[in-house]
Amino acid sequence: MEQKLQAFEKQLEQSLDKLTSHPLFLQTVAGVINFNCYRKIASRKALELLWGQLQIPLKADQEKMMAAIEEIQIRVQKIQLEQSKKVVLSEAPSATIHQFQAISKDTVKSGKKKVSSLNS
Amino acid sequence: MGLSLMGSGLNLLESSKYFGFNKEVGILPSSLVASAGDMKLLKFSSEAPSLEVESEKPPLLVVPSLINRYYILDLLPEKSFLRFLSKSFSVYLIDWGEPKRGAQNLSVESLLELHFDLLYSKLLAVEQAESVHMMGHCLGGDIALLWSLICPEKVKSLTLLTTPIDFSAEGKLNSWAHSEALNLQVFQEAYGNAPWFLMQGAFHALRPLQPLHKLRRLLPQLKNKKVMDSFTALETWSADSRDVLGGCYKDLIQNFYRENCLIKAGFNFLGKNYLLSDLKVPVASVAAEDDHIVPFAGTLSAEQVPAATAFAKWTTRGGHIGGLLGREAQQVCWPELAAWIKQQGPVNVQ
Repeated sequence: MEQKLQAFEKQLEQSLDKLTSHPLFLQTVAGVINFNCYRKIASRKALELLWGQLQIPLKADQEKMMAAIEEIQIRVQKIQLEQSKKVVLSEAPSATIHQFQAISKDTVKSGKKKVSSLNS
Repeated sequence: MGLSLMGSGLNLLESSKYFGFNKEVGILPSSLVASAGDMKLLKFSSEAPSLEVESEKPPLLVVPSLINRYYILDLLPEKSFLRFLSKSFSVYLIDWGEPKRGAQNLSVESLLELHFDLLYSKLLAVEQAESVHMMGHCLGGDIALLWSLICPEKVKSLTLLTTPIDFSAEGKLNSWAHSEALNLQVFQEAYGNAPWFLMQGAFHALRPLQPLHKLRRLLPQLKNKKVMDSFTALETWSADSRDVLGGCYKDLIQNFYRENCLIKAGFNFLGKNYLLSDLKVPVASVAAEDDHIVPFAGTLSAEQVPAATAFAKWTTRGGHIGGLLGREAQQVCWPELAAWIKQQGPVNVQ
């Protein structure tokens, strides 16, 4: 009994595989989805027209605006990150320069002292 | 018929709640590191005993699939790939979140340029590293691969888990996506983001008799709590889908499936073309033999990446999920994969 059931299932699975891979089946399914898409677009556009005449802002426009703001925020954050990297990079050499300047000042001072002691 | 069987599977899942089977999924604790729009960068903390000192663990970024929730990689404590990885790595993950309707035009290119780049830069800043290891699951692997092509200097190694590369490989899903009858432009205009129920329906229709097979396998195991917990967890994940950004969906079907851009013309990013053959980073691939979603023939092979500095491939038995989370994968593939990533050397510190 179980073997028969398994054989039936296998056959059914193969048939369904054939059916769902057939170009005609795919075209029909795509046609149904496409039709549904056109229907959705048409009804939305009609509603948009109606809301537009009442001069009421659309939810879709607000959502698009929010997404645009979000994009700007991300771009700003990216610039901030890049700037902070540049600051870190520019801090390292400047510290070295300050140290170098401090050392050189000391050297100049001690040199001056040496010169003055020699003069005296 | 497929729909009725699908319904019976879902009813079974619903009724399993009343028998007290475990439905807690994705329980490894995580903290939010950064966010960009709907996307979040999460850091997972290791619950299991670590193999290394926390601060010495190399960072690893996991990029989950664009279609389903990421917690398939952390399904149950005993089946958690993230938990396993967190023993050896500092694990970060990108949670794609719930796409908003306003962001429906976001393409793969702009997703990489804006959201992904920001989160990646924040990860590098947090870890004070110049590069991190990357791992992508399913279509997330394609995103990780593109990023490795665009910024190879920021990627220490790349691991692809059941990731489709050659979209011309024979398979039902590929043949459906190749059918030009579906007008993608109109589809995006009508729906905005690709609705989860359509995609889930398509995945169920790939194997219409699967609920029946599941039911038959399950009936003798009804008293086995472990099996039932595992089944319930997997079904919970399977039923918990998310919409996909409309622009990304259009790109995936048009550029990846129909035009097979990774193999043929390459991926165009900000005016520059990137070819798979130019991939320079060490790359590893895990492919499942009986995968009906990503056919084995469509996964990455060594010949496709001649410029990669290292290549490794693991073939596991099982399907798209079982091949990655099954017992054999846990015992053999996971430890070897972790060792391979470690072999690629420490990440470069800033």
